[in-house]
Amino acid sequence: MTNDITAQISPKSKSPLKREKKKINMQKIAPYLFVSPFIIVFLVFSLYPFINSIIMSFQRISGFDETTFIGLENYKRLFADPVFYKALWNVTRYTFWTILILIPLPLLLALVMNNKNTKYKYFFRSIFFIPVLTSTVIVGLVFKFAFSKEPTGVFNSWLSYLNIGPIDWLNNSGTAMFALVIVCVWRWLGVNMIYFLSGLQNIPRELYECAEIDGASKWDKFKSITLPMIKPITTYVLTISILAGFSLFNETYVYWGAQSPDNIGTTFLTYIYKTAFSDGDFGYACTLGVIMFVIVVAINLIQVSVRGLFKED
Amino acid sequence: MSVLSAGKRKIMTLVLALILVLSFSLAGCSSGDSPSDAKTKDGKAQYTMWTFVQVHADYWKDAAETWNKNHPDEQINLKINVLPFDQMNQKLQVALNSGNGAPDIADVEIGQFAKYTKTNKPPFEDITNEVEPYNENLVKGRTDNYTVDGKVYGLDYHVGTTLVYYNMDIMKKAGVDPSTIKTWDDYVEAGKVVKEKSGIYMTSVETSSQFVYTAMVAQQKADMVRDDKSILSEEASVTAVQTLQDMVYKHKIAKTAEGGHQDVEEYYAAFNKGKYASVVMPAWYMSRMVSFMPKLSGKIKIQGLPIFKEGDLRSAGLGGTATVVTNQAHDKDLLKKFVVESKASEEGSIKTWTILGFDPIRSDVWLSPEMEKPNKYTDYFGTDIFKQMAVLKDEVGTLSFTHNSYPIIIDELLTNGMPKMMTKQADVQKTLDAVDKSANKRIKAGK
Repeated sequence: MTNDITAQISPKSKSPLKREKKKINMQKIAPYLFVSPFIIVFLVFSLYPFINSIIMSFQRISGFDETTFIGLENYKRLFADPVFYKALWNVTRYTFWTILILIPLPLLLALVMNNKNTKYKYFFRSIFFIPVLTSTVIVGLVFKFAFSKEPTGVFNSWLSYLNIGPIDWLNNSGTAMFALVIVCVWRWLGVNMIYFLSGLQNIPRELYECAEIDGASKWDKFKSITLPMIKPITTYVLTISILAGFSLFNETYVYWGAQSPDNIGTTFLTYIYKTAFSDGDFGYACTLGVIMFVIVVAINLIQVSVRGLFKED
Repeated sequence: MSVLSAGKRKIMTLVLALILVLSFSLAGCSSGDSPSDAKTKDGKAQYTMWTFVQVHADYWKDAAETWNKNHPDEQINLKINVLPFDQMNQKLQVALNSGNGAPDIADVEIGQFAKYTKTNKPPFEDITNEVEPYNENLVKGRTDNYTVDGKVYGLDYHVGTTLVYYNMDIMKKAGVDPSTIKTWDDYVEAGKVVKEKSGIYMTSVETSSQFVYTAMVAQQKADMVRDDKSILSEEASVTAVQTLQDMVYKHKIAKTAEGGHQDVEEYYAAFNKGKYASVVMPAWYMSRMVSFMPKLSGKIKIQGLPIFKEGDLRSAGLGGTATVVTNQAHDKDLLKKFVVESKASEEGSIKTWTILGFDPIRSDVWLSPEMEKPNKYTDYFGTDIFKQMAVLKDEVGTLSFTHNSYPIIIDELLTNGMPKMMTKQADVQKTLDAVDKSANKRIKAGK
């Protein structure tokens, strides 16, 4: 009897349950289905090449169908390669200068643009943003001519009024770095300003009003309200600046091509490009790529942890 | 009822969904080039070609028409893609590396050829037999450039005979007749006169390029690489650099070129304005003069290079681009015949002049009447261009431009050598010793 009952009940109670289960399954699958185009593209075009380049960094690839595993040979070669250190030094310097300029200056501009007393705000915002819309290659070419070593070059003719020069801008380490940083600042000032502006506009007015009632000065307000409130934006700008700095390519390639005098314009990417496409040394180029990846990740991890962003605020 | 259990069905759904998504996301990839075996509607076999110069495409369009006229049973239709230089080379390298996607024929610039010979098994078809009948008329150095282990893999468009282009306005003003300049010493002396009388520099030196330097090394029948080693610190090379450096610092008859290079816009403008009395560049520089230096039309005199000592050559073949048949080509035998006939036949060779303005790789056509027919070059330089060049035809030196270590040596020279020696007066012997050392280190590391 009891057996009968269970036999009768169980199919009845099982079938709605089963239907329920099926529904849940579809619900579980749907999100994966929706993200799958991205995942597949990511797997095929990012993860696969990434893993493959790690494998290739342990190989010697002399072109066509000739690959041999050579263990750590490429890495040993890299750590003894003066050009690698030169490239590292160049991008580090470049990143340092761009960060030093491209965080305070856009922040200052954003503060001005956010001030209710500033006139023609929208006009100036557009003006600062226009350089971003230009092509790096064209900008690079224009600046290359402007930084010409001839007395008729734009910058040299300005300096001639001060009785300085003519300077061979693109042939000396210091002036070459200046030429690179100038292009970068000219181009990215507007973007960073927009980031900071959006951050500033999200700060609730009440905070400032409270502070004013407590008698806080302008500096106090900036230091204790504005800066902490835009911390996420600063972190973001800092992170992308580091990434952009370390992957500098276009500007230096337009200035010098793959060969710069005494490697003053060599960056990780130009060196990788040269190793792969003019020397045909794909294995070593991958090694450089892997090391560049490690360095950039390390620097960003340090940056983020020093600024205490892993801690819950 | 169902054959599959719930768990299996779940997996099946997932797999099917994946297939669906995959087929969508990969749909874009399948519409690649049509297979080259295909024929056009009028029955011509279809082939593809990649090049990086628009006028080269015009030349090949014409070559295909000529071929179709001469070979009625083997009609071809050439689909030519013109891509930017860097992009074309990267694509070609990747396509040849991966074993598919390469065109049937392609243009490979001389400086790029070395990376394909790295394995001594170039991914190109051997055209030695096809070239053979033409050999006696071809300038030898030009086929040597694309020869690996005795096999020819490509044919160039031109010789690139290096010449001195004198601006006769300035030379006449200074009262110097270029035809009296026989040696580099004469050249320097003439330069001093020019500088003194007109205040104008005799010539320029390159800092980010090496045309004049390589011509000077080649004319002494020396080379930049031997036994897979950089030999820039040897006598011929040191003499060449020292001569150039002295022009700038000791004799003060030259300055560093605008833009560091004689083949860039800034320099064209300077030369057009008459800032220099002469420039040393290959024959293809004529096209730059015609396009970018209109003021000097009718005022340029061309002549062979001065020499260092008795027995030196008066020219060198510089620059160049070979057309190759790739190892992925469809009808290899036909395409090999097509490429060789288009470039090495008398008719085809003359067209490298009439269409492209190059000095043809067949020196026997240099004196053919076709070469004197008026075009934009004869309008600019006069009709006897090739009469003046013909005297040099057996004196065109060459270097191992396509040796697989050559790109590294040039890279080291332009990075650690030329800029220092030409703009900062670094000691020539010491600098070249250092360049050799670092180049050899890199060559060894890459092996």
